[in-house]
Amino acid sequence: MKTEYDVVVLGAGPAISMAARTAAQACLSTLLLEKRQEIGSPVRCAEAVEKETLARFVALDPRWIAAEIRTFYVSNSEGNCGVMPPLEETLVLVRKLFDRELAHLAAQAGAEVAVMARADGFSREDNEHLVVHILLKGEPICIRSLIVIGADGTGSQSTRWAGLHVVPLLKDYFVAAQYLVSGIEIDPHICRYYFGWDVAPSGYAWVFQKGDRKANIGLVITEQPEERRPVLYYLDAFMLVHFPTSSILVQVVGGIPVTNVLPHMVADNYLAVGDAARQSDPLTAGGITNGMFGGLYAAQVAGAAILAGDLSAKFLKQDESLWNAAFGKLLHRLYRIQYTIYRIPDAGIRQMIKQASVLDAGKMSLKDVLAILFMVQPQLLAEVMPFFWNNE
Amino acid sequence: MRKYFDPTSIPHPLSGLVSYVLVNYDRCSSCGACVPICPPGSVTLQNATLQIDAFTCTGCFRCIYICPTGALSRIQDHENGV
Ligand SMILES: Cc1cc2nc3c(=O)[nH]c(=O)nc-3n(C[C@H](O)[C@H](O)[C@H](O)COP(=O)(O)OP(=O)(O)OC[C@H]3O[C@@H](n4cnc5c(N)ncnc54)[C@H](O)[C@@H]3O)c2cc1C
Ligand code: SF4
Ligand code: SF4
Repeated sequence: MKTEYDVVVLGAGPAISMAARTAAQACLSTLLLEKRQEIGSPVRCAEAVEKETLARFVALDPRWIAAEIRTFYVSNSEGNCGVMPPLEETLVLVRKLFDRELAHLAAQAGAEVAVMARADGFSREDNEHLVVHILLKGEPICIRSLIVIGADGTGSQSTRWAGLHVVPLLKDYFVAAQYLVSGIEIDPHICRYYFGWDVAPSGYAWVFQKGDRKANIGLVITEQPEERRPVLYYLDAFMLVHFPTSSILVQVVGGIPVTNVLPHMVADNYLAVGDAARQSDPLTAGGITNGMFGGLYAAQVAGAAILAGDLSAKFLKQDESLWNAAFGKLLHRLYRIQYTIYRIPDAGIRQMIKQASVLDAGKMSLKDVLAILFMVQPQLLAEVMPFFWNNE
Repeated sequence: MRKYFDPTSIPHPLSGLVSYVLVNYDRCSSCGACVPICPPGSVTLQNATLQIDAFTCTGCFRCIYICPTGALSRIQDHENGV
């Protein structure tokens, strides 16, 4: 390991591995730091991702694809079930192998990768560099870098060191719990969602097939008007009702901020991406591909900044512009839809799914879904219409 | 009732002793969900072990509200035998 790099990237999640790969491809000396001893583990994800979008970044490889989803079943607590084709074909990944593959691609492109390397803080020696304080296998070391890209996930410390952290509101913070279970008999190409306040108050539950009689079964909740219990409690109750005999192999829990990204994603010599910059989709809380786009933009802007010799926040703001041009409006709209949808009263949800369940399974279109939605929650009309025109 | 962290006190073997919030390490899965939500930044994960800085914690209990596993609880409740 050298003592000076062009770009140091923190955290080996999908966002940063993308950034490291892009930076290394641009012939910038790049160091990728991961605090865990194993990249990709433990997994904090339901592992579902849009196929086409992912294929823009990596060649799809069956080794890290567990299942392909062709149909979504959406159920309410009364047992009614609507059947929908997905808007985009969805894959269920083996995240552990996927994250490792991305880090491997970054290394192949020329980035140095280090595990058991925890960033512990930033300091400044001169105007040009940021000094990253690292604990490498317990030994403190300092590395000077022109640019630091922080993708240290939801619990990001680097955004605090850079002075960008904003405490999320409780209403903008999803919490999720998930079990990887074995002994599940369901169709490998079907993915199930469950809505209803007795299942997941202001949230939803999911069952994503992983093949080989395994599935990710999880539940996410948001802020509620009344006192709520820990999300794991709701998941255990759900398991008891729907999958009482299955065996739990892995427990995953985590928080997902769904604010409309951080107000500022860049500081002098520093860019935040992925969950650290709160780039997740506010409707589904999916953050894999969003993070990868974030990583790509950040690395491109970092390269341009180094070339131009201007590492100021002012120059790096181009990253925010790129992000806003691609995702700004979309995420803002999804955020508003999310806010309305997860607060539809229980009776409304039941009614919606009941109406959907009588439609012809294979033929339900987006138009039908929207028609049902409007009947129950007319104020969504203005928010959803632009998607409607774009998609049909 | 406010309780300050006393550096000389010996914490309960299963829990972290903090001013307002008690951590049950048997339940905590070090997910870090409580880290960004804490307004004064009192919560940190050090080597996958959750630490709450008793000197800066203001007792807002947002961390308890969001903790997915129920690992956090109010010291007050333990004292009152809830
Ligand atoms: C239960 C759950 C289910 C989810 N399901 C989905 C889903 O189905 N689809 C989807 O698209 N998204 C899902 N998400 C969200 C998705 O997991 C994240 O958006 C995605 O992992 C974000 O990637 P990232 O690279 O920003 O951060 P992360 O993947 O969180 O990676 C951050 C990395 O940084 C490392 N790190 C942290 N601090 C330091 C430090 N100081 N020094 C060095 N390294 C550090 C961490 O160890 C970690 O490896 C889910 C999240 C949860 C909690
Ligand atoms: S949110 Fe709960 S489980 Fe997660 S690190 Fe904090 S105390 Fe532990
Ligand atoms: S009670 Fe509030 S201030 Fe104290 S640790 Fe929890 S979130 Fe932070």
